[in-house]
Amino acid sequence: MIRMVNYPKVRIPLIHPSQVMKKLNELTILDIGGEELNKIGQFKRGNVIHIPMDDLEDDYNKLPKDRTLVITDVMGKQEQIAGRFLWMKGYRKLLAMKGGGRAWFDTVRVLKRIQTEEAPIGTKKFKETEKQVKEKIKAEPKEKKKKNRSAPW
Amino acid sequence: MRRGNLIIGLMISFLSGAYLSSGISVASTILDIPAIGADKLKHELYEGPPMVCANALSPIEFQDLTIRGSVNIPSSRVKDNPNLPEDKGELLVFFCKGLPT
Repeated sequence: MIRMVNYPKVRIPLIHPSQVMKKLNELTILDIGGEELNKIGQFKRGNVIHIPMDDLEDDYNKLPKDRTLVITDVMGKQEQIAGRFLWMKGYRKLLAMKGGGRAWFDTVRVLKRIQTEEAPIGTKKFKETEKQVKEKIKAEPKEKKKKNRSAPW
Repeated sequence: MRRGNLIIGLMISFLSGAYLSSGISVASTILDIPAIGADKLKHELYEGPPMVCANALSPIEFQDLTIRGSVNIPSSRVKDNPNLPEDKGELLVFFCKGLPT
């Protein structure tokens, strides 16, 4: 094993996607997932900067230093190392999306359902509907798969 | 259920083979890339004939930690990468992080 650069040993604090959703105006999402994350879903809310992890070393200059960056990859595996690199380059306002882009898109899906039922964030109704919607979403894909399997025969 | 999946898989391969004969050959070659164990790779890399051991992660992760003697070929920049071996007969091993599936 060989180590060429000693990145600072900092731990980038994690932030839950639902917290990001609440503070969307104060935060900037840094999408490092590239093509792979683009296949899973597209960011449609908030300020988003797309720099794939492979290009981050060359293009990190484009990032603003005065805004809080929420680093988001596909599964949450590469966020810490990207954050340590940015810390070395002088960025201090850094957060890492808990669960990566997958968790973010799941949260967006849940929120879309709740908003149609009109329960504002923070209330008991919101939490209750959130639970119900999550259970519904968990149950739905299984039903669809069953239908597809039985359809051709 | 498994038999159903298998039949679907066979049907898909048959249909795509009929309509996209070139496409299926590419797909089967990708699936046929064999895996190498750590001990064998160590032997091949340090004692065997010349080969290229490529880290498919980003340059940032490559600089943090990598196998001694490996080169960096990020997965999004494989095409025409200067680190690829000139001799196409050479052994080329890609690795990243995580467990094999």
